[in-house]
Amino acid sequence: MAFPLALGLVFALGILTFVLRGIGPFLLTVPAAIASRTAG
Amino acid sequence: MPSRRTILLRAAPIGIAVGLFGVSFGVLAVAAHVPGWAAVLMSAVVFAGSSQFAAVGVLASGETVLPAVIAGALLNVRYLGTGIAVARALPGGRLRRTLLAQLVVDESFALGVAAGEPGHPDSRTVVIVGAVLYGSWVVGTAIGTLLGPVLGDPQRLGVDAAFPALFTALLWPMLRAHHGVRCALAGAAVALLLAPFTPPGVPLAGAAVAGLWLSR
Repeated sequence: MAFPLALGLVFALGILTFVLRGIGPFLLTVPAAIASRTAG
Repeated sequence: MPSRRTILLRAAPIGIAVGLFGVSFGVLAVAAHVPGWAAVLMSAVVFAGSSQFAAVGVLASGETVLPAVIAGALLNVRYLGTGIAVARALPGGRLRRTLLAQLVVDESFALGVAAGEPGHPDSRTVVIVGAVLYGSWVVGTAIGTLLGPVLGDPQRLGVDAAFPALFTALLWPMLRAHHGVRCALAGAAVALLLAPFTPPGVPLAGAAVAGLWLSR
């Protein structure tokens, strides 16, 4: 696999994952009820 | 709140399993012609085993980078839910919370929920377990890329069986309540129904949505 493709794969997936993990804690506007349901 | 020593003791066996899984990923990535450095960097940047396996699996099947990224990202949609669940438990401002949330993986989330109060996972457990698993995952991947040519097919070693067993063990304590059993069964049914017809990640996302819906 070529260097640019490998780098693109890593960072595209990395950035998407970073956003998916971080958006909730960053915004912190999600109702507590949803949070409690998700946490069980 | 559990002590740091207790948390580390709880994390240790999972860390070993994750390390072995990391070795397996490194071997598989090299076999799929992903450069060793890229596999290690991916583990360091993405830190999501199932997603990384899916992406490399798509590449190994002859597809290009874009479908690989989409498959991997679909599997990580579940982190939206776990991120929301831990958001209020994490300390600090926006930036700190966002960075700490990167240590939330399935295992650290499950142990954090088990150690916390209903609706409020124990953030210390989430962060410490996440940090332990991060280290073992990246180191395991590095070892895997170095040993790849020697070890051959990782499935031959049976390492791939470790994670279903691990997730079953993590799920077990959450099945004490009736609604937990109901959500787990519904999630499993949706995942099994979608698996033959949809790309990797969709069954997992569907199962998460079903579980979330039923837990209302």
